[in-house]
Formats: sequence, C-alpha cells, structure tokens
Amino acid sequence: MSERDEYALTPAERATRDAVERLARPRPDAVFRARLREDFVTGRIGRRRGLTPSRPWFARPALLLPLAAGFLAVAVGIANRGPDWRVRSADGEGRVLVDGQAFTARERAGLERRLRRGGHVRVEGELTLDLVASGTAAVALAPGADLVLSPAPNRWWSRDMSARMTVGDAYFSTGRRFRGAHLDVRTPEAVVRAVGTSFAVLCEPPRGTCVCVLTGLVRVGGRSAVPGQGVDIPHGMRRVIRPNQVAMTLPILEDSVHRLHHQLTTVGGDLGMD
Amino acid sequence: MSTPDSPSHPPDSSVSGEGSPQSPPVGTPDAALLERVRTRDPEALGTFYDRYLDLVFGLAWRLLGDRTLAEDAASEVFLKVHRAADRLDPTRDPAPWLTTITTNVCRDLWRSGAYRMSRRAADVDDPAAAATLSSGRNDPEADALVSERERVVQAALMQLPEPLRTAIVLHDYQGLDHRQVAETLHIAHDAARKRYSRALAALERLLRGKL
Repeated sequence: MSERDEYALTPAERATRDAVERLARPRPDAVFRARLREDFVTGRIGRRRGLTPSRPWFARPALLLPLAAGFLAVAVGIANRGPDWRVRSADGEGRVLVDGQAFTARERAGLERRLRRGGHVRVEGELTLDLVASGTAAVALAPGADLVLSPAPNRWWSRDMSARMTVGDAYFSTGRRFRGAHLDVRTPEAVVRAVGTSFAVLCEPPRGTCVCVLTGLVRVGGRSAVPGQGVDIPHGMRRVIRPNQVAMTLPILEDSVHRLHHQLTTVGGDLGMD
Repeated sequence: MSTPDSPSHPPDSSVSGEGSPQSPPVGTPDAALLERVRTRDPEALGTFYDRYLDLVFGLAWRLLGDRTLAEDAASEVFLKVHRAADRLDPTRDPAPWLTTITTNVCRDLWRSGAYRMSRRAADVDDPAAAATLSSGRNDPEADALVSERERVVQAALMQLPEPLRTAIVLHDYQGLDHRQVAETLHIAHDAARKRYSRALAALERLLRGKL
C-alpha cells in the first residue's frame, strides 16, 4: 500500500477504505459457473452471440445513419445550389421593386441581397437593370419591365430556370454552365423555351409578344402551349405572337441585335464565354 | 504494495462458501498453462477459467451491483478471452489484462439500456447475494452483521458516479495501486490518484454514521 496516501486519510476515510477492502468476494452460483465453463472450454462461447455492449447514444447506427444521411443530403443540396443573381449594373433614374420593396440604383447592395434567389421584379422610371448568375445566365431588364424571375439553374438537378413576364423588354443570355438546363419564359401571349442562346422577349400588351433570337435556337409556342412545344426560331429571326394568337416569323429587330450584343459584350466574361 | 500479481484479497473460501478447490491461487504466472491457453487447449482453458472466474465475477459484481449483470459481464469477458487467446502473452500475469477487460465490459454495460433497466429494479438486498456473501461459519448473527455491512457499503458504492466507483473498487477492493488503476482506466497517474481521493471522500460521506 505504498501509494495509499495513508498519511492523508482521515479516520473516517480510513474506515471507509477498510470497509471496501473487507467486502467479500461474491462468487457465481454453481450452475452458472458450470455452464460458462463448458461454453468456454468447448469453444461454444465463441459461437454464441456475445453481449452487444450498447454504444453511447451518439454512436448508435440507428441514430448515426439518418444523421449522416441528413448531413449528406444538406451538403449535397447546398453543393447543388446554383449561383445567386448579382446586379451587374443598375443605370439611370428610377427604381426597382423586388417583391414590393423599392430600391434606387444607388442601393445596389440591398437590391442584390433581395434579388439573390429571384423574385417579382418591376423596373420603374428610366432605369436599366443588368443581372448575372455567374457562369450560367444573364438577364437585362429595360425600363418598364415587369417579371417574376426564378433562381438560376442548379448544378446537377432542378435545372429549370423560368421567368413570367407581364410587360416590358427582357434580354436573356445563357453561359457555359447553363449546358443541359433550359429557360422557359412565359408572357400573356407566348411560351418560350431556350436551351442555350441569346434572345430577347419584348412583351407589349396589347400588341403582343416578340421573341428575337440572336444566337442558338428558341422554341416559341402560343399562350396555351406546354414549354418546349411550338415553332423553332433560328438565330437572326424573331417570332411575333399577337394577343389573338396570330403569329409570324420575321427577321430580328436591329435594336434587339444591338442590345443583345451589348449584353454579351458586358457580361460575356461573367458567363464564361471569353 | 498490492498488485494484480499479489492481490490483497485472495479468494477466501471461508467467506464465500463456494469455490473451486483445485484452482491454484490467482496471480501465479504459469507460462506453460498460458502457452496452452493460447492454442485453446480445452484442459488449459478449464484451468484458466477455474483460476480467474472469481476475480472477474467479483469485480463485475462490485462494479455493477447486480448478480445477473455480473454473470452477463463474466460471460462477455470470457468470450473476449476466448477470441483473443492467441494474443495472450504467456510471460505476463493475465490478471491485469482480465481486470481491464472486465472494467471495460462493465463500462459498456453501464451505457446499455439493460443496465439502466436493471438499476431501476436494483436490489442490493438480493437474498441470493446475501446468501452467497454469508460467512460460512454457521453463525447467523455474524452472518447478519456481515450481510448488513455488505449491503450498506455496496449500496453506497452504487450511489457513486461510475468513474468514482470504478476508481475505488479497483484500488481498495481489487487491490490495485494508483499506477495500475491509471493503466486500467487509460488515464494519467495523477488523475487516478485524484479520482480515487474524490471517490473515497464521496463514499465516506455516503457511509457516515452507517458503519
């Protein structure tokens, strides 16, 4: 008992220690002793299932697996998320309403925060708004435009991007990482589907909708069409659909060419098209 | 100094009443026997079992405070021994190894639902246990006193938090010194001393006026 700290113990502690030391040695009963001996000697003990010591709650597979699956799902969900919309530029006098909240061109940070995952955007006054989702898509909204914009396409699944326009001009260009996704634009008169292109949607009620295609191919259908159905409009052409659903295909408007070129020039780097 | 090689509490058949008279005392390293245990020779396994079962069972019973759980723990320890027999070092006394395995198995049991269930119905007044712990001297009065003191001390031990209980049982009941307790519990030497000191103080408070 060299380490028993005899000198440091109080009499009561010494008595306690002695009481523990004097505890009898409990022994197993004869039946258990014989049974376990037989199992141990014959090796049956190795074949029977031993106790399965319970793990701490946080290490139990029943809890760990769903937890790990949950973490994985969240991690994959976050990794899948497409880029946020950024405000590339907001020029001119006027304001932008995002889901009813107004921003001037100078309140760019607040506007960008609000627009990150899309929303109902209305451009008032003489303001022009250029949005870009890095590497994926760019949207330019002319003064007077009113549309509901979805988030940019995700990386691996849920790669749909959509916009619902009620009025105004919007210019769309897709980037390198848009590949495999599609963009649907719905106006009161038309349904437009693009899978990688630059095009403009000019929505002018009550005159109708004009879709101008600068590059790639866009499929344009009437208001009751399912996205993806309709007439293929090649680059350099436009499709005009009147409110009475009379439609015609004509050469592209010069103004649209100019504006889409300008968009590609200014955000081409952001779209990975250099 | 008490070590697992020379336990301070050799099995005392006069106290326990049961036993295996043919078993040599615990703590005598027997290289020839252990060598045969390594090959799982049935006769050697039987001798090994007879020699060490009481050590394992007694420790488990004191740590768990329940006969059935102690039997479960002993079964688990010998299962582990059987599985690891070929890794046994014949030159070393297996008692410290068995003590470590038993302590770990008890710790696993503490974490189990079975242990918590059994604690709800814990009965340190277990008549079977009392009978096993009788003096064997055919002296009912002495038996009653021993049995009552056993009951009080065991009940107090069971009220200690498990780390403290382990420290005091290994040190005072099993007869290990602080270094061996530290090795068994995989903690630092100083930590073992402090834990024992806290355990003793706590147990003293629980037993105050009862001994």
